[in-house]
Order: sequence, then structure tokens, then C-alpha cells
Amino acid sequence: MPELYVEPQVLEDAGRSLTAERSTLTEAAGAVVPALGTIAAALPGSRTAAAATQTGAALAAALRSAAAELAQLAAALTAAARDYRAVEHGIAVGIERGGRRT
Amino acid sequence: MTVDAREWDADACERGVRQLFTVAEDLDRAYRRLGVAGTALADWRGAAATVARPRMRLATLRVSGLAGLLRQAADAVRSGLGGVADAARLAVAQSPQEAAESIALAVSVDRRMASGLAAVDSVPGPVRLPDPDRTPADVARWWTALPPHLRRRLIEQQPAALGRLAGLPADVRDEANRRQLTTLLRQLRAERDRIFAVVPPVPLVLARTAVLRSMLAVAESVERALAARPRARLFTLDLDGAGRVAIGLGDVDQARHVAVLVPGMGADALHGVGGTVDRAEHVLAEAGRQSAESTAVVAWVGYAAPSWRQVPFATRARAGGRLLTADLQALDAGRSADGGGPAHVTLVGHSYGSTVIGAATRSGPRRADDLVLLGSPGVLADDVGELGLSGRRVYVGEAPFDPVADLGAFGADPGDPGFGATPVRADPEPGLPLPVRLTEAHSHYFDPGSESLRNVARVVVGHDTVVTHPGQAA
Repeated sequence: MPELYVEPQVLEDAGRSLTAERSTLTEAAGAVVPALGTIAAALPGSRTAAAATQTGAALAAALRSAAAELAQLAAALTAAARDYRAVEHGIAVGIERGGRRT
Repeated sequence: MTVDAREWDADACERGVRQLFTVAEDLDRAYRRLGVAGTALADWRGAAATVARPRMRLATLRVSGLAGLLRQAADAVRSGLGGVADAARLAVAQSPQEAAESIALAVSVDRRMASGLAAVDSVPGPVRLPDPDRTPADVARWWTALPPHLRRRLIEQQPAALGRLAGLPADVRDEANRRQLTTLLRQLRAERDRIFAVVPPVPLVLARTAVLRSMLAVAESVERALAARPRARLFTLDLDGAGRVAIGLGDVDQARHVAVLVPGMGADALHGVGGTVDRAEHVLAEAGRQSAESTAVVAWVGYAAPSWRQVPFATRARAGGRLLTADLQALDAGRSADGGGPAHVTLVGHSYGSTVIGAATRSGPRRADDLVLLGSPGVLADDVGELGLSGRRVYVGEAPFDPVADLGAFGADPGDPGFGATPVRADPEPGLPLPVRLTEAHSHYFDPGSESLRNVARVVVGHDTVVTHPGQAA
């Protein structure tokens, strides 16, 4: 039996926050490449242009990876909230049945 | 690699840099929201919580780290923008010498930006404050690349060091200095109570009491000034020696116009904080009436202002000038952290404070855009040319009957036509009784309702074409 010290609603809210921030990170990943691409295009023939393209790709990958981590955590928290609710409900039903028998 | 800067586009580069800073700000906000979400789970107990909470904390820190990396990338390019523009300009010039200069400049700036970008994905080392020999610009770059969680940690754990670090944004120095002020007040009051518990006081204790009283008086005057103005920025707090205090009113980091008020005789940290901040407040209010553009005013009580005994000598003005120059560079660098730009800066000096400004302007690498000299006994120069500014950028106000303004004690009288500055009306407010006008003419330049204050504010907000001149109606 899991110990329940938190309202499932709190977990759900946290899950929603993580989902929202996952979107922020995904959008950031989408914005970084064009930003560094603008810089690269503005400096044709330079080492900076090559470095900007490379850095843009690396940063975008890191942002997408962080977004994926947030998505996983969001799913876990939402599932935990659902499980806690189910367990709570099961306990309540059991108590009610026991009450009827006595 | 041969670099040809003819097709380089500094404006487009800057757009890319701005985009990166904007994305970094989005990540800063995401980091803060994730922190709030994590705090809401603090009461969660059990096996699942034991696994989930640390993972969530790590994910939050990762977002913070990414914000830092993005700013580091943006700053690596931004630091070269000036060079890019110069190289592109020289590249299209006709002369072979300029073409050669363009190539040299382009290679150098390109190498620097590229190595800055290459460093972005390197693993950051432990957080260390910059070495003391680092310039304010170096400090600003270091801060720019620092992830928000590490910034927070430094502010909380090392406020004393951070508050003194030239090159940080005013907001950061303010938070660090306010924390430090609270600590110092607690320590100084506790020490005072301990000393007064000693009966009878011995000479050594009495000597310490004098120092302690002075430090506590400065700290308490700062405390009073801030209590009345919760949004003020405590830019400088130093209780050692004569003490140094600078308090900014308005958003020093973002404002379009920044004025720095430099007070004169007697206005050291022990005696000058309240009065100088009051005057700064008057200038800020009048600037708000003169222009809708954002303005900040710094009450700079940052040098050992002379007493009657020292005022005939320029020694303190020169020492103050060096400190003022350093603080102006710090202010500039702090604004550049996180992608900000330079402000239109006006130095407003009253009495001996104008001499300090003269010393700073003559010798310092950072020149203000405009100077306003009020009741000036001289600025250590014989004409505006020695200040490195045109006469249209140097304004001189002398109230009628001000005996100090005509002294010319430190170089030529700035109000003399031969000096080359622009004279402005500096009358006190019309309701001031005649006896006061005659006897205290040197002390009413910042009075609300005075033509003097209006002209100061006009210069501060860049409306210098509407300043009134002596003999002209208000």
C-alpha cells in the first residue's frame, strides 16, 4: 500500500506545469537554430558562421533532450495522481463495505 | 581561411543575438516556474517521491544551465558586433590600407567569436568569482553566461563579494548589497551593545567606538533612504574608511537616460546620503515631467567629500574622479550583461562635485554624454576642450549671488565665456525669500519648482535644445 502524503491534485498540477514547460523548451529548440542561422548567414565565409551552425544544432539537441525529460516526468506525475486516486477510492469502497457488514 | 567582410551584415548578426537573449529569458522564466512546481511537491512522501523529486530538481537545473549556455552563445557574438561592423565598413572602402585593416580586423574578430561559440558546449567548472584584476566588461560576460540557479546561489551565499563586483547589473548589486546591509546592521548594533556593556570604557574601546559609530551612522542613513524608497537600487555600499554609497532611483539597468549626481563639500557617506538621494529624487521627478522616456538617477556619494579644511585642495577631487570613472565603467558593463545597451549618461556635479566630474572626465576613458556643472568652483580645466567634450555638451549653471560659482579655484571659471561651456539659467524657485537667496544661493540648485532643476532635467532627458539661458524668460 503506498503512503499518501500529497493531494493527487498537487501532482496533477505539477504534471501540467511540466507539460507547459516542455512546450517552452520545444519552442526554444525551434528558435535557437534560426537565431544562430541568422548569425551564420550574416557572416559568410567566417569560422564564426561554421561555429554558429554547430552550436545551434548542439543547443537545439540539448533543449529537445531536456524537453523529453520534462515530458517523461509530467507523464509520471500524472500517472501517480491517477494511481493515488484509484487507491484512495478502493480504500473508501472497502471501508464502506466493511461498515455495511457490521 | 581568408575572410572577406564585404558581405558581412552586423545588423542581421545583432538580430540573431537579440533572438538568442529572448529565448534565454524564456528559459529563465521556465526555470523559475519549474522551481515553483517543485516546491509544491515538498510535502510528498513515500518511495515515488524519493525518486521523482530529485529527478525533477535535476531537470529544473538543466533548464537553468541551458539558459546560461544560450546567453553565453549570444554574448560571444555580441562582443564582436562592433568589430564586424568596422570590418564590413573598411572592406568596402577603396584604399588598399583600409582593405588590409579590414582583413586583419575581420580575422581577429572572427577568431574571437568562433572560439567563444566553441566554448559554449564545454562543461562549466565550479562557480568561482572573477579574479580581482578582471575588468567590469569581463565580469559582465561572466555573469551573462552564469545559469540562473548559480546566480541565485551566489547572491545568497556571497552577497558581500557580489555587491562590490564592478560589472554586475544594478539589480544584482542591489539585492546583494541589501543583504549585506542587513548583516552589517545586525553585527554593528550587536558590537555597539557589547562595547557599551564594558564599564569603565578603556581607551582602545573608545577608539573602536568612534569607528563603530561612524559605520553604523552610514549604514543607518542608507537604511532610512531605502526604507522610504523600496524600489531604489543600492548600487554601492562600502563602510570602510570614509565610506562609499551609491543609490539609484529608477531602473539603472534599462533606463534610456541615466544621470549621476555628484555632491560637493561635506557630502561624504557619513553626512551626504539622505540629502543627495533627496536631490536625486527631485531630478527624477522633474525628468518625468519633461519627458516620457525612461530615466534613472544615481545619488553618488562615492568619494571622500572634503570638509572646510580640505576643500581648498584638489586632492580629494582627483581621488573621487578615479572612483567615479570606475563606477561609470561598472554601470556601463552592468547594463551590457544579459544583452542591454548603453544609456545616455549625464553627470551632474554640484560645487566641489563638479570638480570631481572634471577630474573624472579629464582622465577617465569613459566620458559621459553630457555634463551639468552647478555652482562650480572649477573643473581642473581651462576650457571645455580639456574635458574632451564640445561646449554644447557641457552646461554651466550659476545662481545669482552664489559666491562659490565665480571662484575659479580649480582651473578657469566654467561660467566664464572663454571656457566655452553652455550657460543655463540656474535661478532658485521664485518663492524663495530674498534674504535666503542672498545668503544661501549656493544651496538651492535642486529645489523643486526652480528653473535650475528644470534645466538639469532637460539636459538629463536629452531635451537640451529647450534649456533656458541667462537673461532668457523661463
